[in-house]
Amino acid sequence: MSRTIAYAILALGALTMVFPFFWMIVSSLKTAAEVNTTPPTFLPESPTFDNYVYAFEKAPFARYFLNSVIVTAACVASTMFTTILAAFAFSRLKFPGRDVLFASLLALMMIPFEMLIITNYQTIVGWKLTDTRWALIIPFTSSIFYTYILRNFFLSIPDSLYYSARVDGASNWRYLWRVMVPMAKPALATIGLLNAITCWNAFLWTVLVTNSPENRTLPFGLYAFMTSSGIRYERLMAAATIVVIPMVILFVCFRKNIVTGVSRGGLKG
Amino acid sequence: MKRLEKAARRDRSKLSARAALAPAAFLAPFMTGLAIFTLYPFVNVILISFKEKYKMLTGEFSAFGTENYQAVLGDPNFLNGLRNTGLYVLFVVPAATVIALFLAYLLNKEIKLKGLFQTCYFLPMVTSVTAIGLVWKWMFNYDYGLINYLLSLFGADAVNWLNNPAYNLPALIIYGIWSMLPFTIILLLAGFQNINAQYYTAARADGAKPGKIFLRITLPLLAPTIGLTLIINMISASKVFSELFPLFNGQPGSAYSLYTVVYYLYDAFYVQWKLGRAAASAVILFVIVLALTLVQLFIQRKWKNY
Amino acid sequence: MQVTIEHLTKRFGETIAVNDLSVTLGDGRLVALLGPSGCGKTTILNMLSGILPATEGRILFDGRDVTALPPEKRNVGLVFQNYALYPHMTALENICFPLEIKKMPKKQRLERAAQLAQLVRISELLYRKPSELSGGQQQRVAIARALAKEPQLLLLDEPLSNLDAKLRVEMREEILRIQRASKVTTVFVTHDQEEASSIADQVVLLKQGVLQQQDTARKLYDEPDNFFVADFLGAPPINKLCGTIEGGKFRFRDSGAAYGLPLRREVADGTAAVLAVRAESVVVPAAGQTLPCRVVERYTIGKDELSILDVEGQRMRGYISGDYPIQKGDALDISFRRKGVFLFDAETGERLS
Repeated sequence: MSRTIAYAILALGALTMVFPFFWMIVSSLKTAAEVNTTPPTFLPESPTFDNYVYAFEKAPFARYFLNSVIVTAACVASTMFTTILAAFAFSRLKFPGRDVLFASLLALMMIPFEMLIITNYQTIVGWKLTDTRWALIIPFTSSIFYTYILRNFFLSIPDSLYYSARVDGASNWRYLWRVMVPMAKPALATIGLLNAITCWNAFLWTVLVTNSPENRTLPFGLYAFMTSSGIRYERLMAAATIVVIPMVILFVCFRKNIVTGVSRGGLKG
Repeated sequence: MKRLEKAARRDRSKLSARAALAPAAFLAPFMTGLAIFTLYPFVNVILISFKEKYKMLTGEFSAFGTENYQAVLGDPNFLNGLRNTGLYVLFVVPAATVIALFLAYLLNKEIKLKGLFQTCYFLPMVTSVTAIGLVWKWMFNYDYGLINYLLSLFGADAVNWLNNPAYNLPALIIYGIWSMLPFTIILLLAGFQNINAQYYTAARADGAKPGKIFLRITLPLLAPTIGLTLIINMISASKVFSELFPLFNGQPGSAYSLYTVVYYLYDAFYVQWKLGRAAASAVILFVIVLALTLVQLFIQRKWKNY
Repeated sequence: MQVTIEHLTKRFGETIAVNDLSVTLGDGRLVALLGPSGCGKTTILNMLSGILPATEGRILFDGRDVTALPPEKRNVGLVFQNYALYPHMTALENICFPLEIKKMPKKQRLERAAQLAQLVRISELLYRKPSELSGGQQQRVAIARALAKEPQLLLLDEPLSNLDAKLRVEMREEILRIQRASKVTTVFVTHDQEEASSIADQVVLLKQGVLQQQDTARKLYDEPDNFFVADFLGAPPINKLCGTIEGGKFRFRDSGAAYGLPLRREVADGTAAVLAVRAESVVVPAAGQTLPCRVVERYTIGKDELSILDVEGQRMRGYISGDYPIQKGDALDISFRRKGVFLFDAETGERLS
């Protein structure tokens, strides 16, 4: 196949993939009248930010945004914490049954989350946490998958570093935070990013356990915006842009980390 | 001397006690979360699925039995969901895999602007299904949607994608293929990159043409990755759910014709509060996923020696 | 600090890595744990540092039993074969790390690090990361880090094996210099007899977990306790001439020619024996007991000629002074010096002469 054709096909494919994003932004800058014209205009005639203003004023998108940031940050922080400790135990510490335990945890990975929502919902209700941001954070603090990635990374750190540190008087705890964690920065970045993306975009669970606008995160806020205020596409596109842009920025900045993380996750090592 | 020895022995036992405590302490936060939000609900949902006339608030039930399963498997909505999910998997997974294979092959070549292309292709993966689904809803719009406009350019009639039940599934499938591509391309690209370049050099030295190289060298060596990708995608496609919300305003298609397995689970649980049925459908979903996972493990083992 | 090892044994399941080792390592000495790979020397080092628990026996630091103490309570410095520098820290941060754990104030830490850097001569490299340092430089940083907390005992695991040949000679002299300057009792592990002989005050030679002999390198070389010791030390390896003991004399295997050496005890006739002769113990022109031989091959090595000789049907190497002209194929008479000639029991390895 000649080079030109290859580029043409790649360009066409790339266009198809990016086009919805382009269309989203373009539509969000149009007026109500311009959105509903045939044939559609590919660039807004007189770009306007009114739709964004509307989203922030009429629907509390600022609130949703803040909630998303809080929930995502808390999720990532708590998940990182449990993951780092567990990965350390599964890689560095020796205890009877360690590898059997780890293998059975890996087997748990195939349980679909959708299967767990019923009981988890009951648990959250029982703890009286429905319609709080806690409900969006607490169930997701332990991830077998991230622990698996980090454990493999930890295993690649030579034992001699550990023994050096022990001889130098460092405890397990200290060695973990002063040596292993700084060394594992790339792996931690990957895990953190994947985790942040998942939290930011979470929808099903959010719909189940939150209700009031004060506690909604962006995806649910967007959905509520659609069902409550009627279909005004220029406004919806503005709201969708607000939801999508932070992750797009994150992705553009950390593409390599995310892509390696995803391929490692898919192919499991 | 005696005292020293005693002290040493005491130290040693203290040491082993501490050594045993350390793993427990490090694992505690992780295992607690796992036990409460994965292990317990997993066991519990299986139990609930066998409890007849289960009441969520009181936890009362009349007897253990298979009533819930009979109800679910006799429910036309569930059967409809199975059918739709099956069709969705059947169309989306092969189509996405073939297209992704082709694109990954091109992306793996020595091309310029690799970073830009990768960014474009992988972008949909990190974006909210709800948000981007809404964009697709807008593009599928009957009157002013872009897709119908493009069709009109080719002289085709406008299609009522979202309000005519006959076209709901095709709309979902088109959107599904688009959103499955990034992940699939990444996996296949990793597979391409794992193939040692020496094979290509050797084949070229033997005078093989590019087409021949692809069919005889690349494809067989990529087969394990393709197999794995297919299974992973089948698992994720059989959980299709979130895509329905933005497209059909939270309904399973216009006219309730587009149930999927997970939508049924959601509907039974959260809309109708029939927990037994929801649990039974969850267990059925698990069995489907389990079966696919076992196939995946089998493939992985079989192809390990590559 | 004096280290006393008493009946130290380490078992890994069925295998015995170290078997009933008793030895005293002198205060302020540079001690080499020497032996072929798998002889248990690294295991001993790890038991000294506390990384590995001992199965049996005791380890005493200046008379204090430390056998049950964890590594952090033993105050030892440890340098690994691969140096084990923390890759994300600079040389300075690496050196300061043990002090930071000891909660030494920052100012003091930096002073101490500067002193150490001067001692190991890396003052200008302090702000580099390990990946920006050569092997020899990493080694120096690792030693500085191990010395930072003023250990009573410094342990070096194969300190030179990751370096290329030229650097190795330089670094071993550096280790000696640093040890002399810091006066810390130092134990290093090596499989290279030359390395051990050249710098160690005391060599502990092991084979399959069993102590063979421990003394100065000179003593080990000149007065080996058994065949293994004689064979392990020295390059070229000691010559081994086979035969039997008959009437209190060594007789060559094929020719039956006799060679007399004073025996330590009565040895039964017919005992298989090895006459071990260092290459430098060959004397030409011959004096005293002479043996006829033929020159098979000769190489020039620096000032000397190393010849391969055929003695009574067996091959041996001998240094022959360059002043004495010999040709390949020449027949000549040789004799052996008293020094560097030993008789061993061929089966038990026991020294007979």
